[in-house]
Amino acid sequence: MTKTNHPADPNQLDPEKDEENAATVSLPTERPSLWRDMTTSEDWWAIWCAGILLALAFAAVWFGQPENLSESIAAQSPVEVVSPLKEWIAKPGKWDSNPVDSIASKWQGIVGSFVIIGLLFTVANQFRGKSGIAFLAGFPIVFALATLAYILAGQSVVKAYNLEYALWALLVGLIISNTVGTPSFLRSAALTEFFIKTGLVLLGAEVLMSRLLALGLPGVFVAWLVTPVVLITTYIFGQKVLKIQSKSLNMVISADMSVCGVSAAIATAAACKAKKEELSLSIGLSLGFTVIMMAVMPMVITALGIDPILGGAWLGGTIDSTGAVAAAGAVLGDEALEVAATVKMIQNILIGVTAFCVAIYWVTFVERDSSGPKIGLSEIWYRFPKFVLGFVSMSILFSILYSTLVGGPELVGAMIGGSTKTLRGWFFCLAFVSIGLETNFRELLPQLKGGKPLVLYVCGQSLNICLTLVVAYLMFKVVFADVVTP
Amino acid sequence: MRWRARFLRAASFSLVIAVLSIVWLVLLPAYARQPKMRQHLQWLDEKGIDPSAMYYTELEIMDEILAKQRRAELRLVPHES
Repeated sequence: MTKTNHPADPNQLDPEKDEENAATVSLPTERPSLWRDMTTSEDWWAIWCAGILLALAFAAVWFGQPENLSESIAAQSPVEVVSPLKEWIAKPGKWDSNPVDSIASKWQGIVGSFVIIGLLFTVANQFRGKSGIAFLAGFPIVFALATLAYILAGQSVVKAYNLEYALWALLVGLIISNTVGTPSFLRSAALTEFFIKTGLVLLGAEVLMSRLLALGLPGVFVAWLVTPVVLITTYIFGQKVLKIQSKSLNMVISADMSVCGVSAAIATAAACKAKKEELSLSIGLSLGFTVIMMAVMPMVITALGIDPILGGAWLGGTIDSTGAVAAAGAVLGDEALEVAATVKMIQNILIGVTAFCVAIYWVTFVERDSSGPKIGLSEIWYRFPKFVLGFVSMSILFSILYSTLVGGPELVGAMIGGSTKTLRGWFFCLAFVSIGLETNFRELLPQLKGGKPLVLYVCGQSLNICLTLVVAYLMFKVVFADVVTP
Repeated sequence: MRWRARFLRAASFSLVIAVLSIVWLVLLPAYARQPKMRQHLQWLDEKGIDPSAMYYTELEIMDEILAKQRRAELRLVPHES
């Protein structure tokens, strides 16, 4: 068995990691105790930070719920639950010709988000043994850049073409780092992995398992069967046929193409400790193809005379981005829109399972020497990215609250809509600004070598398109043809 | 030499900012005002669709779809009162 020096924190993504390092196993001589790990490591602190935010957000909704909530639900009368935090947590909105419009009515919520994240991360850094003051010195600028990215993404034409904020956040950071250079004081606040992991644990609360069955068995087959088959086949194709050097790049592209685009790429990249440039490249590929597929697929469906339900299921299972699926589905009509958006929602929820399985596979097979002995449970636990546990735990917890509480859907929905999804968006936006601030254009170029990532994406997506159509046809038109009503 | 490098960095930064400003403040708003584009944007607004939504919880139309499913669910499972 090959021995290498083990990093202090095995869960921290190391931007300088190369494939040789990733393929060797390390046997640390001294491991931190669980308590020390829980009080200092980034993964555990991502769980604590997101846990605090979720607890406060749910408490706000719980204590602010209408008095007659259970009676209204029993009487099946419409009831609206709104988070009291909604006004205090916001992001820049949509604008057409004047960018000031995007922040004019949201400034209070933007300032609120800045205060909440700034305060939480300053305290967290201080507790982790890092400098909270150093973080605080750079954070206002990083947050301002994230706000600028949101404003760029909020232009109505940009939004209509599915060009998500992640792309603009990356661009904003890249402009700084590749022109005037990233000042050193900003680096203390560019905490890419910490932002991503905290955002992912928050995202866990949005992964509501009960929604997996939203379309019944046909939806389960289209999303649950095709998605893993395409993911695994594409990954094997990348390794065996294309011989892509970086396994993590291969995995991130396979996941973002087969599951649901940017959000799946973020979760998988964190689970398999991919390099920042690999995540950037995967997202670029996904967004580029989504723009094309969003325009072309409804035309193909119309030209082939495919009915709206089958067409919607095909769109939902193939187009990466959630918003683009809805836009393409709406072109075919309301039925197609509903089926497409629901299939995509089921795929969105599969992120949790995907991230968990990828993390297990990585620590068990990829990070060990293939000639060495099998690694034990304690080693798997030691190497496992703990924030994934937080992600899965929050998903289970909020799925239970959603299903068991009277008014669970209304309460959990109000919590997500009024606070946590906006904070999660800020964390991802801050993460992509941070990636840009730490990336040199030249580091992105080797990833494109030989065009293999592009070939991988095209081949994987072709399989996805064919297999989804076949399974959707069988499920929606043959096996369950009588029971499918959107 | 150092002064020259600084000047080049500042110049490239200014150039990029100028290009972005022209695209976002002039070209994109002008495109948004084109009748066909304006119609498309209005249609998206009416449908409650944000094509740049990353996750289903960011999609306004999803609230309607889920509310419809929730109503159907409540009809199927009558509450005891």
